[in-house]
Formats: sequence, structure tokens, C-alpha cells
Amino acid sequence: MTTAERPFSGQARAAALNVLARKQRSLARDALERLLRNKAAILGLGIIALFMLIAIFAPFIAPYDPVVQIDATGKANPSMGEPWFGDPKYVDPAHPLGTDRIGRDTLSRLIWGARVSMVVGFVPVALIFAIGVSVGLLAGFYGGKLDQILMRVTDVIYAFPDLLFIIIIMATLRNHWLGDLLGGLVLIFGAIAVVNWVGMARLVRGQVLSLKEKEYVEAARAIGVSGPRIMLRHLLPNALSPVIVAVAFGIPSAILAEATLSFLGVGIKPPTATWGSMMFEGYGVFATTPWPVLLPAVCISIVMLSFTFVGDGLRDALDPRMRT
Amino acid sequence: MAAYAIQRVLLVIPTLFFVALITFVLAKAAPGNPFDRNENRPLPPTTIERLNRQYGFDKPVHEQFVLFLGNAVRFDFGSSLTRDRDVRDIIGGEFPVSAQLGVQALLLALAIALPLGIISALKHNTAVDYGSLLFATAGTTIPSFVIAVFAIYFFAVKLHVLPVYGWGTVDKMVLPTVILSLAPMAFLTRITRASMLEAIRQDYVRTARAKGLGEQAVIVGHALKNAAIPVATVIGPFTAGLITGSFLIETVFSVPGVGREFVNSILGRDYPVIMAVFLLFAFIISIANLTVDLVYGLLDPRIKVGQ
Amino acid sequence: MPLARARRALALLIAALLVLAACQQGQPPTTGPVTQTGGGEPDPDGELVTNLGSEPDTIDPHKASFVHEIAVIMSVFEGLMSLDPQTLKPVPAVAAKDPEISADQKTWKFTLRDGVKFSDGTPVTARDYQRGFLRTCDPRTAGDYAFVLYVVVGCEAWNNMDLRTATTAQIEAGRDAVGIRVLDDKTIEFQLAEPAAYFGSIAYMWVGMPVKQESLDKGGERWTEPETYIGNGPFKLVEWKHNERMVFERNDSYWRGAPKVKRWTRVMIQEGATAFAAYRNNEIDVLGAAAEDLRTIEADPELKSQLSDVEGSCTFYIGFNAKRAPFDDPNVRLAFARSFDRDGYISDIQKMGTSANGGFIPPGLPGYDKDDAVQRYDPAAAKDLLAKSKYAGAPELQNVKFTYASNARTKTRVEWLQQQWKNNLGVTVVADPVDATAYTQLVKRQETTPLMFILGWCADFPDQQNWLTTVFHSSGISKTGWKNEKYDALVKQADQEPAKDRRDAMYLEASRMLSAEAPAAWLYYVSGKLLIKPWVKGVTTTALDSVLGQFRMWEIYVTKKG
Repeated sequence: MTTAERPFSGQARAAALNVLARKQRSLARDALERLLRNKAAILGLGIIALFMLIAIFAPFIAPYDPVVQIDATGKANPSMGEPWFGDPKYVDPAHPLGTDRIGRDTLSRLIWGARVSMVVGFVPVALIFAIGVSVGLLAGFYGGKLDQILMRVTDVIYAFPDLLFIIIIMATLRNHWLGDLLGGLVLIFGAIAVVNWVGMARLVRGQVLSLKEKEYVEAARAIGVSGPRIMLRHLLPNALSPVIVAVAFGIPSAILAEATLSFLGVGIKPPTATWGSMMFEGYGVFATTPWPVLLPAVCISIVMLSFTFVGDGLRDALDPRMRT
Repeated sequence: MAAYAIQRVLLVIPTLFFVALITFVLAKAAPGNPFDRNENRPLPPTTIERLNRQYGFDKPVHEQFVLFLGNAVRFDFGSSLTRDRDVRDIIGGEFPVSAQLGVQALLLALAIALPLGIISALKHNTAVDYGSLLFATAGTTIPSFVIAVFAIYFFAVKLHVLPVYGWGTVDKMVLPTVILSLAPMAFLTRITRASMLEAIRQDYVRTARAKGLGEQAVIVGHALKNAAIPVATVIGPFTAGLITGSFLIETVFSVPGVGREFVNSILGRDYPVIMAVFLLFAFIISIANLTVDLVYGLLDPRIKVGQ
Repeated sequence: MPLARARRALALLIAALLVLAACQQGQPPTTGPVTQTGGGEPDPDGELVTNLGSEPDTIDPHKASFVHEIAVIMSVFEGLMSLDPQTLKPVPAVAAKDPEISADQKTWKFTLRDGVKFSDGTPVTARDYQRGFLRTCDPRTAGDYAFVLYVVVGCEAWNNMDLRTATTAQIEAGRDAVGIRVLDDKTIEFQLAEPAAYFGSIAYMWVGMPVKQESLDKGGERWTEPETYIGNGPFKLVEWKHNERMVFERNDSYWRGAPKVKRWTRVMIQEGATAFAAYRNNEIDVLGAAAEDLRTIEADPELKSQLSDVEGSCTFYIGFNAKRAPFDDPNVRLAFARSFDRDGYISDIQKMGTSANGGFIPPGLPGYDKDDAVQRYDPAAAKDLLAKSKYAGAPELQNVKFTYASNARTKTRVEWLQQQWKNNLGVTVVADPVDATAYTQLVKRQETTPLMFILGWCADFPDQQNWLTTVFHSSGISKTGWKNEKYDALVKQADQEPAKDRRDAMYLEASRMLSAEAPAAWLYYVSGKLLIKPWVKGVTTTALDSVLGQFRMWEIYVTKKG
């Protein structure tokens, strides 16, 4: 900062900075307190944490290799084995949740599927966050040409039918070298991120536009805080509320997108176990036994439900108007 | 307002142009086109000529794109690569089915979500409220195709009351419509309830109550109108979303709609059909997005439009 | 006397369609037909609903090669000959009597019977048949089955003309040189390039179906739409809702008299689970049961009573594209063929049929070689072969693409195979699902044949020629791109050999050669189970059916309900 430009004294500056700092901390602590009082949200967080642990420790918890179809002696596993609560005639105690059509252990596949779902839930959303927030901040703060371009780009991408676009990308680039990276995961991340970052960008931009006029931003500008610093230290934290909520709801939608893609046959390449592809295979036998479709469906529903609770809780916690 | 409206309408054109461009690029980038160029069993020259005329395979890429655009505007996407029919005929036959399915689902969703949302907002924190919240949450977290599969199992296989597949008669339309409507129904219930709750708490409702107006008048007169705004704004995109997003339901129930066509074309690498469906859907969604902005401007004068 | 032909079949379609099995739990194969005896009053307005499986790529009789395509053709058209359901030998159909054959077996004269009409009432003439046969040979038609008519003078030369360079005059000349002559309205004569005792069977096939000039003129390339798809068979196509269903109605002008069933709807349900649910809900009347359904069927006494075993005459195989790496090396092909456990596949996965532990030809047909151990499961030998090949350790052995028609049930089968190759050979195979109709197109042409694919071949009539020559001769129907001149010469010689013993021996040698060269890995021999609702009667099934009761279609009837 050039000293010649500063209109205020050091003391006034310190006071202004104080105001800024205090404003942020109290909002965050308030929100946290309110969130922790929300029982549904706590339950949701707990379940998510549980699934993340399952995902991380999958190689150690899963009783079998998820793609193996034979047992230790080399004999083929029973096909369409029932879980312990299913039709007793076909229950095999070695496989508590049953086996699939070609003898792979369902429990192990569910555990490894959790890995895929967690990754597909978080990574694209992280990408969306990174890209969307940056673009939204820049567009909202600087306005002008950049903003115009952003608006037009978002118009175009908004016009896309999201899932169809993702399907097209997955299907056309599946055999490309891009589609081979990480067994198709990179492609899914990219596809989901490309389609959804605009929503985030617009959201952040909207927030920035309304926050730009607030007093503390004026104050910061007045004392000469640089543009990027304003964006990062003042705008972003206060714009975060709806962003956090969007992230909390974006994760389950990414998980569902992967399940849909797998169900249609254009998801991650087999034989990777994912909840979506398990449901697709289970569809082949649903008239005979419902468990191969139900069990992964229950997993997805529980995870999505948890994120919904957390998202709702966050939204309520961060909404300043809810203060009674 | 008028100027803004016109501006938004005109913006649809460059939007669609870019959508077409991206679609075209993707189609070109995709490997595995069934019509490979090297052949030791050549196609009859008439067929080759027809293909070149239609797709311009022998011309440079940018000319191909112009050709593609020109044809697209006239809804001419040539003939399907895997079937002996014009893309226009294929989609023309199937689009009304998807449209009907989508609109029916939306109407059903509205018919149930609106009253449910309003009632549960009025009876905030009672059993009814929690019940509808539960339903709403379940509708958005359980994947629709799972519900579909089990609906088939119960209603068709076990109870024999509804058919497993197909479209056209009322009994065949029931299951797909109901199941497609569940997710938007759940979502709309939440929105309606939330905005009713908010509207009820507003000062002017308190004022109306204080003035001694009957409960009925209070609700109908004030709260509903304001609660209707968020719902009205999402109707457009929702309809578009239902029409363009029904491919899962269509696949499970063998409904001969555009969504199922899209999925089969993806698997069959039938690019003309894929591009046509994509453009058609983008067009529908653009129109729907447009309605959101326009509705905002109409319904709520407080909202500044076009700033 | 023995005759041999074969048709192509698609794996999942077989599961969804009604196809028939050769062996039943190790019992010796029976060749007698299964007849659902009568009983019940036939409903004159009876309606039958079956599942075609998926949308046919083409129903043009002079182009088709897949079972579900032929199913439609054989319902709408009828050839000069048909096959007797008991003996599977050719018998006169539209022909009034057996053909007159010259002493050298090279000239065949057929006389049409009186009163045969197209479904629009116009009479069928010899010229209509000539038109049909010629159309199959026509290079502009580019049909898949032209090969079987190469035995006719001039057909091969005409069919192989290069359309890029040939003038119209040359094409016309080529057509005129084909040995099919119309002597009068009711007589047609064929000149064969070599003696072919099996030509009577060829005359029953779809390659020789009559077609009206009017249909071709009016419809052009789209003549297979209902308005112009006029045939002389028991049914006529009245409606075709693409990707949804085809509706047939009885042909009142059919020369044997109108069929008993009034209306036959064939729907297109691709997912076996949905079709099974539809069957249980009485929405379709007949279903080919799949392994996934067996458990439910066994547990339900009503379903169990509707189940019958069905003879089959098909072999399913995994095809390789022998023109692309790594399958241009026969060691690699044989390594793949020997590294999956066929018996395990049958007992654990397929649960129907028998593992293909012999050669290409299935049990129950002449030429079945149960001692052919060339492709038997032996992971150690397979690893050796791979190590000896030129691709040992090469990147071509990773990410080998295996293309199949997308379907929940086929997916698991493909994944099972993937795992076998991973464990036994250390190669990674990548599954590549494609839409069913597009899949049939890909495998019909050499240029688009996938690297690895799964396909079936069903007998057209019982003879080795139909398998070893028609399918795997280098100009034959299979598009693996495999070519072996010794094999070609051997099977051609066997085709013409009059002495049965020598002929059988030559075919046996060829069959062993085929297994060793492994352009395909034999997977299993089909044996199926059929679910038929009790109100469907008069069905006569044979091992060669492409459609329910193919050789006595007009006898099927539906009893009055209630």
C-alpha cells in the first residue's frame, strides 16, 4: 500500500479492520452452534463420516475381493446367493449379503462401491467449487466485460440438458485416451464439473453483487485494501453461506448422476464395483430376487439422505433471518 | 420490461448456435463411427453420394458445420445411421410421447405438491408436516429407477393390476407418469412449504391478521400469492427437465419416447439422432429458462429486472 | 442327401426368443418335434403376443441374416420349398412337387402350384421368384447371405463386381449371366455351377423369397415398410411401430388356407427381466426362459407347468477379428480360447445348454466331433501359447475391447469372462456395450467387426456344409477376417464329394483345423427352455425354428379365454 494514498490514520484503520474481523467470526460461530443443535444434521454428518471411513478402509474391511468369483479353493461361488434375511434356500453363510449373478460377494462390492461413490461425490464438487467460486468472484467483483462474457457462457451451458450432456461426453470419449484415465473416473469428474460449475459461478456472482454494496466492503476499499484481498478475505467468507449449502446438495446429485450413468451402461468401466452398476445388474434378476437392486439402492439413499439433512441443517444454520 | 424481454428472447439464438457448435465438435471427436471409410466391399455409389450430400463427409470441417446448421434450422438431420429412416420422422414420432409423459407428470406433481405444501406449512411442526417432509425427502433421495423397478414388481407381477411396459392406453401410462412425478412432487412440496412458511411470517400477513380478516382471506389473499412466485418461476425449467429427463423411466417401462431413443442412439453411436435430440432439448430448456426471467419480471414488481 | 446351412443368431435375442436346444441333460439328442396337442376351442379372433427382442436391422429377405430378422421374413413370405418338421428334409411348399433334377445334378426345375397368391390377392409367378433369387445375388443389394447362392452359375461373379468401376451395362450383363431362367409363369429353372444335392434346402431359405416388382418400385429402399412389404406367406405385416412392436394379421389369400391365429403381435422388449415380468403378467404369451428366471419358475408350480425343453441347433462363440492385433496371431486366439472354464460357465452362469467341449458343430447334427479337444480349458497350455506368440508382454494384450449388445444379463456374462482371462492369462479385457440393433450391423461387415465379439450360429438345415463352409470359408458369412487356403480348399472339396464317408472325413479334418486356428472360441451349445401359456396350442417346434412353430405356423391357435 502506498502511504501517499491513505486518507485515514493508522488508528482508524485498525478500528475498521476490527469491525471486519468481528463480523466474520461471530457469524461462523453462530452458525456452528445452530448446526450442532440440529439433530438430523448431526445424524447425517455421522453417517457421512461412517461411509467415508468405509470408503477409505475398504481394502481392509471388505471380506473378499470385489471382482473375484471363486472361493479360496478355486470353486465358483454360488450365483445369486441370497442375503441372510432372504430366501433361506439360497443363503450361503460365507456371504452374509449374498452374491451377485456371477458369484461376486455383495458386501465387498458395496464396500468398494462406497469408495467410488464418495470419490465421485466429492471430487467433482471440489472442482465445481474451485472453478465456480473463482469465476463468480471475479465476474461479480470486476463486472464489465468479464461479467458479460461469463453471463453469456452460463446462458449457453444452462441450455444444456445436464445429464444428457454428461452421457454424451461419457459415451463419445469413453474410448478416447481421456476415458481410460483412472478407469473412466477422470472423465466422469470432468463431465460433471463442466456441466455444473456455472450454477456455482452464478450463485457466487449474485452474492458478490449484493455484498459489494455493504458497508464493510466500502470500508475496506476506502482504506485501500486491494481487490484480490477484498475478494478473498471479505467477500468470499460472507458469500460462502449459500455456496456451502450448494456444495452439500451438489454431492448427492453427483453420486446420483454416477448411478444413473452406470444404470444406462455408460458409467465407469466394469468390472469396478459401483452402486449404480450393481443396480443395473440387479435389474436383470429383480423378478427373482429384489436384493441385488435393493441393497445398493438403500446405500445410495442413506448417503443422499444424510447429505440432505446436513444441507438443510447448514442452510438453516447459516440463514441470518432465522435468528429469533 | 419489454426491451428486456426482447433482449432475452434474442439471446436464445446465439446460445443455441454455441450448443450446436459444441454438439458438432463432440460428434466429430467421437471415435467408432459405424460408417468407416475404408472398405473392400464398397457401398453402391448412389449410397455414397447420398451420404456425402447429407453429411458432407468429403468437405472440409467448417463447411460441414455450416451444412449441419442450415439443415438443423429446417429440422433436417438427415437419416439415421443405423436405421433406414429420417431422423426427423423418428423424433417426430417419439417427441409427443415424451412431451405427454412430462406434462402429465408435472400436472400430477403440482396437483399433489401444492396442497400438500400449503397444508403442511399451515400445520407447521405437526404430524402432517413431518409426514409430508418425510415423503418429500424420500422422493428426492431414492433414485427413481429403483422405485420404478419395484413398482413394476408389485403392481404388475404380484398384483397383476398394471402392465409392465408400453404406452398408449391409460393403464400403461399410470406407472411411468406417477413415478416420474415423484421427484418433482417432492421438490415442489418442499419449495411450496418453505415459501408459504416464509410468506406467513411476513409482516403484512401479521398486519392482515391484526386487522381482523378471516384466516381464509389471509391465506388466500396474501400468503399464497407470494408463495406462488418461487413455484411459478420453477415450473418452466421443471417441465423442461421432465421432458428431457425422462429417459430412465422410458427405458425401464419401454415407453417409446425421445429419452429412450437417445439412450439407444448413444449405445448405437447414431450421431445424427444424438445431435438432433440434444439440440431439441437445449432449445426446450432455453425457452424454459427464458420463461423464468420473464415470469420474475411479471409477478413481482419489487424485483429489478434488467439492471 | 444331407443338407447343411446355418443362420446367425444374436446372444441375447436367443435368450429372449424362442430357440431350441439339442441336448437335454446328457440324454442323446432327439430330432422329433415337440407338438402341443390340441384341446380347447380355437378362438377365430385369437391373438398371440410374443417378444421379438429388439428392433430388426432389416427384414429384407434378400439381405437378412439374423434370427429375429428371419423370424419376420418366414412369417410373411414362403419359398418354393419348406422343411418337414419331423425329418428336417426339404419338401415342396409353393412348388407343386419335388423339383426335376438333371442327371448331373446341375439343373433344377421347379413347377409352382396353382392358386398361390400374394396377400393383396395378386398371383405369384415364377418371375417373382426369379426376381427374389436375383436380388440376393445382386451386388447392389449387398446382402449377407449371397454366399449360399454362389452355387448358382454366374451368381458369385455378379455379386463380386466392383460397383465403383462397373458400368451399368456390365451390371446388366452380369445379371443376365446368372443361371436362373423363367420358362413360363409357373416354371423356373436353375443352372448350378457344380452338383449340389442340398439345393432343395436352399430353395426353402429367405434368399429365394418372391418379391413383387411393384413393391420395389413403390417403396424403393424403404419397401420393407408395411404398405409395400407384400408377401405370400401365412401372415402379413400390418403395422410396424419402430422400436416398439410389429403386428401381423392372418393372410386370407394364403394357399394353405387362412391361419388359425388372427393377429400376432411381436413386441420389442430388450431386457430379459422385463420380458419375464411381462410374461408373468400375461402380457406376452411365449418366452424363452433365461437362467436368471429359472429359480422363480422352479418355485412356482404354475410357471413350472408351462416350461418345456427345447431342442437347439446353435453354437455360441466368441469371435476374434483376425485382421487386427493381437488376434492376427493364431497363438493368441487359441490362448484366449483355452483360458476360460466352459463347464463352469454352464454350471454357474448359463445353467442351460452344454459347454462347447467339441468343435464348432453342436451335438445332434452331423459332423459333431466330441473328441475335438483342441480348444479345451487348459490355463497352463494357454499361458504357454501366449508366451510363444509375438505379442507376449506387449501392450496389445492390455485393454482388449470386447463388444456386445448392451443388456443387464449379458453384462454379467461378459464380466465373468473378463475375470477368467485376467486370472488365467493376465490380459485385461475391456467391456464395450453397444445398442442391440447397431451391434447386429457392426458384426455384419468386416470393416466394422469388433476386436472381440460374441455371436451364435444356428443350423439352417442339418449338414456340415452349413457350418464349416457357409460360416468360416473365407468368403463365408462370418466376418472374422480369418483366411486359410488349405481350409478353403478342403471344405470346398468336401462340398462336392459324393461319397458320404469321404465327405464326413474331410469335414472332420476341416473341423479340427478350424478349432486349432481358432478364429472363434466355442462357448456353448444352445439348449433352451420355453415358457408357453396354456391357451396357446397347435405349436410344432423343431430344432431349426427361428420363430415359434416355424414350419407349421398356420396351425397355431389360441383358445377362447374364460
